[in-house]
Parts: sequence; structure tokens; C-alpha cells
Amino acid sequence: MTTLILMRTALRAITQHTGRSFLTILGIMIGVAAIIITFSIGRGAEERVRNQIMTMGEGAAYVIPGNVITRGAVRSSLAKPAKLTESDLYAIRDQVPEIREISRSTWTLELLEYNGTAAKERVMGTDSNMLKINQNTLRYGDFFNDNHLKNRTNVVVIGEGIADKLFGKEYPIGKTIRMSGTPFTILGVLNHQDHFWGTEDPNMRSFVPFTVAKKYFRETAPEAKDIGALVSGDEDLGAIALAFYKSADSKIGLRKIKRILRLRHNIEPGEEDDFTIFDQESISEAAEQASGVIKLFGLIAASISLLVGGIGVMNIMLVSVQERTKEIGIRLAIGATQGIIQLQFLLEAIVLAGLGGIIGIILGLLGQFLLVHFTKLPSIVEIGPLIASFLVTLIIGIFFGYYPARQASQLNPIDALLER
Amino acid sequence: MKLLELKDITKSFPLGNQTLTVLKDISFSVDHGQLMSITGPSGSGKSTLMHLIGCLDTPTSGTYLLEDKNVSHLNPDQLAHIRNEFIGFVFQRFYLLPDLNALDNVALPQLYANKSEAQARKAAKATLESVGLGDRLYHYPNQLSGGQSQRVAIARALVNNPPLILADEPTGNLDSKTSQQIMDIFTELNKTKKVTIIIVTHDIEVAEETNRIIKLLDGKMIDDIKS
Repeated sequence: MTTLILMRTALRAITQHTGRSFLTILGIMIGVAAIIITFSIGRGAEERVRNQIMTMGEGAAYVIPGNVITRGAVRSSLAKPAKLTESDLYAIRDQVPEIREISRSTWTLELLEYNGTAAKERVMGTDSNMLKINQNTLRYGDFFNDNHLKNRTNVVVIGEGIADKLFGKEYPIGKTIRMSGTPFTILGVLNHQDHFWGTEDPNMRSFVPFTVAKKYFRETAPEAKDIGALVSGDEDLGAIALAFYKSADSKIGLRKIKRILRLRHNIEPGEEDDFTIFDQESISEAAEQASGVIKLFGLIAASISLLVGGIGVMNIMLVSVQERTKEIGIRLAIGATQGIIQLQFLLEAIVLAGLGGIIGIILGLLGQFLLVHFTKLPSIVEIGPLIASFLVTLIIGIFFGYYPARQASQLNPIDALLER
Repeated sequence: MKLLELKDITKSFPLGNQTLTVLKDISFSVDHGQLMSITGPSGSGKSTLMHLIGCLDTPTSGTYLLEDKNVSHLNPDQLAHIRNEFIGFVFQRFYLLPDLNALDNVALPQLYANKSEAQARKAAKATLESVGLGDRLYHYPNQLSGGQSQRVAIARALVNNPPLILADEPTGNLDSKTSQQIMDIFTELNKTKKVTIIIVTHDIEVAEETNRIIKLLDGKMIDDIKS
């Protein structure tokens, strides 16, 4: 008796009770669909974060004032308001030879206007070497140079998104836009950068000379509100942007920066940092953790669903064995062995669970497609989770089908035949 | 060599804290090629005896030799093989599988004998044709009359060419005309193929068409008439 014939027998038994079979495998379907959706969303998130980290620039790191991890604790220590200054930057630049480029950085939100179109977007004030740090490139025009910085010239380099929004098809170079009322000449337009769903779009950013940003926008810098009085001639920085040499060990560089800042900020051993360093590695670690959490929750939800589904399969198989006692008796009477009967019912459970798996995969793919379509969540479908979840359903079929199949095979032929 | 030999067969069932003895010290033997019947009133134990002969059940005590082989205490799978190769069953209620058409019902014992599907179908078709159902191969049991169903059941019993056919009230659900057709098939089979046929019946007219009648009463063998 080949397995193929038994498979057909199983399919016939299942399709005879379509409604009941469908309800039985609902749990498995939902579980598998949940696995497919969470894994593709998780993978998508990972990939987006990876892309976004790449947009930081390879080997780039950013230091910002305040400890974003234990922000509350730092805020409460009013005696030492968190800030980064130009002299911090110079100390880092002079004492960390691993650093290739370093730039002052500040950011504000400004209303950008051109010909009646307006957008309130992020404006960065940086030094002229910023593109060497974030490794972005220009689509049109130029980045500002040191003369612009020195002379505090009102020039701006805008992101692709801003260019599209304010200028549409118009060529923006040389045009004048107003930022919070002040006119700025467009010097360049940046190329497109990928970004992670839910985070700020880097293509909506504009770059102005650091000195200009300080001159016009200081009061509106979000971090500046918390920062205390200025040390004379030592400007506060929203951030220090830097990039290490490719050949250098960035870990050592980061450790040095940390040590310098702790020393300069008089932080006692055991006290928390009053600054935060973002580097590619730590962000990608955090991102992987986050996507791991997504997957873990998905797996837990899916496991519960699969467990319930498996119990459902066992339940319906027990009912099926009960209902088909006479059939089992007939089959035993004409020479079916216990093994054949057990295999027949085991295969039925496996086919049932496997069907749940296949429908679940289809539902999952459909679900993630709809989710991506309506929420713009990133999503990457990989064959691995599809195959794995299908195999899991087969294992569920074996595990939860074993007991009912064994029950069926252990029936005494005459008792089964007479249903007594 | 006898086809089968029963020695002091006893079968009892637990009934509460008592024991109900259904068969008591049954001993007889059957030669190859016999057409015989086991008869008696209901409750006499004739069905239980058929189940024991058919290896569907095992005796409480006594020895059962099938072609000189002691089958009293074989394991379930060994008994399954014996039922598959040595014995064909015909039941009062036909016991066809409702989800399978006539051809697949008859092919099933072949499949359980590890024949290929093609072989099984071929044998099933030939056997169905031999009982006059060549035009009903793809009919399902609910599309067949009682007489046709019983002929499908006979084909299923015959398909593995067993030396023994056991028929439990094979005409019990049929009118007298179809009953006669079924009996004619049995008689013909016995004559041409030398298949041993044991018919369990309470119908004395059916019993009298056979060459030997074993009578049971209250679990005991009270008569063994050979003609």
C-alpha cells in the first residue's frame, strides 16, 4: 500500500468534511500567517535600518549632548546641564588620530518657503566637510565651502525631497528661498537617500553653514532650550558629526572620545555619560535587537496559535477515528495491518495540518502584501521562513496526529466492525 | 491436510463480574473445497464462531489450526495477513466503504497485499466481471441495489483468491430472488474454483443448499450433518 494511495484517502476524508476541516486548521493557518508576516516585516525593518545606517556614512559617528538612554536621570541633575561645545570638538579632533573628518553640527526646524509653497523641515548647520562624513552626494550644484562659513553667507544645500516639494520640475540652483523669513540662495541639491519607515526622512533635510545656522536659528534649536548660558566664544553644538579612517579601529576611537568628554565634563566614575554617541555598530545592534523582539513576539503569538491548532487537529482526528470505527473494522477485516491503519490516520492529520500550513502561507503573503500596501511598512519575504513554517505544520500533524492514529490502529477488528 | 481444524474452542466475555461463555468446547474440522453452513437460533454463538474462524477475534481457550498452522495466539498483524490472504468475508450488511466506488472497494484487499494500484485495479475489474458487475465498476455503494452490493462484497472477498470464504447471513438483507442469485454464485464458486465456503445463517433453506450443516445451540455444537 503506497503512501500516495493513503494520501488520496486522507484528502478524500478531509474534503468530505470541508467546513469542519477548515475550522480545524484555522489555528494553524493563523499561526503560519503570523510567522510569515512578522518575519517579513522584521526582515524588512532590519534591511531598512541597515540601509539607513549606511546613509550615516561608513565609519561615521554622531555625538549629541544628553544621555538619551537615561535621559531622566541626567535631566534631574540640574547642576550639570548636558551640552557639547566647540572646545569639546577641538579636544576630540586634536586627541583622536583615528578621526578623518569632524564637523560642528546643529539642527533646527524651519519654515522653508518658495513661491507660496512652504514646508516646515529640519535644517542642519554644519561645516563644509559634512558630505565627507555622511557620504551623501550632490545631484546638482555644490556644497558650501569655508568662505561661506567664514562670511556667514546665506546659502543652502537642500535634500531631494525639499527640491521636489518646493520646486517640482523647476531647476532650483541659484533660486532664493526663505527660511523663517530670511532669504537663502540654493547652492546644491543632494541625491536621494533611503530611510527607515517612521523615522525622519533625510531627503527633507537642508544644510546651511554652521555659522549661519547659529546666527539665525539658535533660539529654535530643540536641544538649545535646555542648555545653560553660553561660555563666551565657545558655541554650543547640537551634535558633533565625525568619520573615522577606514583603516582605523573605530572602537578605539569611540573609546577615546568617551574618555575625553567624561574628563572634560567632570563626570565621576560610576556616573552616567551626559552625552550619547551614535555609531553604525551600536545602531545596527539596537536595530537587530528591535527586529529580534518583533520576531520573538511573532513567534510567541504564532506558537500559541499553532499549539491551539495542533490540539484542534488532535481533537478532530479523535472524532474522526470515533466516527469511522466501522470503516477501520472493515479495513482490518480485509487485511489492513495496524501499521497501515496508523499510517492512514497519521497521514490524514499531516495532510490536514499541511493544508493549514499552505493556506497559512498564502494568507501570510497576502497579509504582508496588504500591510505593506497600506502602511508602507518595509517587508522582505524570504523562502526560509516559508519552508520552515510549512515543515513545522507537518511536524504538528505528526505530533498531534500520532495519538489518534495509534488509537485507530489498536482497535480490535471485530469490536471495530460491530462498533461495540 | 485439513483447511482448518478447531479443537476445544471456548470463547467467553466478561459481563460485570461474571463471565459469559458464548462458545463451549467446539471441535470440528473442514476439508478444502467444502460448501457448508453453520446454523442455529440467534444467540447460539454462530456469529462469534465465524469471527473466530475468520481470525477477527481470538478464542479464550482451545486450538485453531489453519492449514496445520496454529493461529490461536498470533499477533494482530499476523492475523491481518491471514485475513488478507486466506479468508474472504461476506457480511449481511455488505460493509462496503461508502467513499470508494465498486472497483476501488474490490481493489482494497489487493492493495493491502502490497500489490500495485494498476495490478489491484486489474484484478478488481476481472473479479467484478466474474460476478456479473462489469457494468457497475464506477458506481458507489449508494448507487447499487442490495444484490449488487452483496456481489461487490463477494468480489472483494474473492479478489485475493483465498481458499476460504466466510459469509455471515449473506442473504439476510436480500429478497428471495436475489438471495437465490447470491447462493448460486457461492455454489458455482465452490464447484468451479474449489473454494471452501462457510455460510453462517439462521435460514434453514439457505443451510440446506450446502453439503454440511453444523448446528449450534447455546454455544454448543449439537449436530454435524454431512450429506
